Amino acid sequence: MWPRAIEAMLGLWLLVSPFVFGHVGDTTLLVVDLAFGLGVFCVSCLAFWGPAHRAHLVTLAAGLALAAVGYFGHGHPSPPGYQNLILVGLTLALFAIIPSEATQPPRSWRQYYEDKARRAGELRPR
Amino acid sequence: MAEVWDRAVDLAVDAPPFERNPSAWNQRIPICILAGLGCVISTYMALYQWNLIDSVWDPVFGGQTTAVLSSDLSHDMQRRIRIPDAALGAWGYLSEAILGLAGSTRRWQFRPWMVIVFGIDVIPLGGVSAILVVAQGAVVGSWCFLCLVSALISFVLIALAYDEVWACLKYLRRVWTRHRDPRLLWRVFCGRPDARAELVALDRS
Repeated sequence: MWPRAIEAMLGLWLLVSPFVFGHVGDTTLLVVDLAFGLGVFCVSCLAFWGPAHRAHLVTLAAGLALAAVGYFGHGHPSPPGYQNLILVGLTLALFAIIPSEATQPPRSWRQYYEDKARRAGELRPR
Repeated sequence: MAEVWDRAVDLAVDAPPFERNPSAWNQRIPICILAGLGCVISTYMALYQWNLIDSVWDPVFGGQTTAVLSSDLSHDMQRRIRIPDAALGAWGYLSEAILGLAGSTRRWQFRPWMVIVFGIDVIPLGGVSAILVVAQGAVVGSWCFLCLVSALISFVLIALAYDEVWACLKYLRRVWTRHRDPRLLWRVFCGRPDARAELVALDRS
């Protein structure tokens, strides 16, 4: 679940970004930072709950949207707040393509081997 | 569930055509460490381009590094991508490290899409960016020690990563050659289990 934990931390970073980069007065940027930050944090935490383990796909869309806002939201030279959106958005998208149980085989493959072993009589039926 | 499948599958199995496992941690961890080093170097150069530090360490070319990092070519690049080119390079190395960490030690079979994405990131994209870094020095007429080190890291990463990508491509090719079934190939690429694909996976013929 480490990708989800890092996504949650990136969500927290977005929440404090307006104060770090000093753009609290820029309403658009402030709303984007706070809304996406809170959303990403909540979705990442939700993904720890079994049935919602694919919630990170929402984070993938959010990351790409953030990068697009950062890129198209301001011309050159891009202020720090917008550059932050681009980099955080790309990094969120990077982590979001990684499945929740990142260092194990997919659930379907694990189930496949479990069923195969059971059919072979190596394991007691459930 | 972990105990059950864990006993039923060998995650350290060799990946044909190699007589070793290119997805093993002892191969992937060095890739991640090297990519992490590239990320640190690129971030350091990005700090200069963000004007957060006044100079950049260069034991070979001295002040030429700052000339490269603040050249018109570099500024033109920043105008196009909105962020310093060194920051994009740092993100590139970070992506290589993270994609190197993700997946089991049999991901060449269980998650081919992940190995292919990792391969695209490291081999064509890493190679092109390393060539561009070297070309940038030639165009600007100044050289940057850390830029050359990062380009060298990219080339070493290609050498370290190619066999896992090759084993994965060979596996996908075996699946296609045996069955000629696009749906099966797509299932295998996406990492869904299939008994036919499992039979092909470890076949060395």
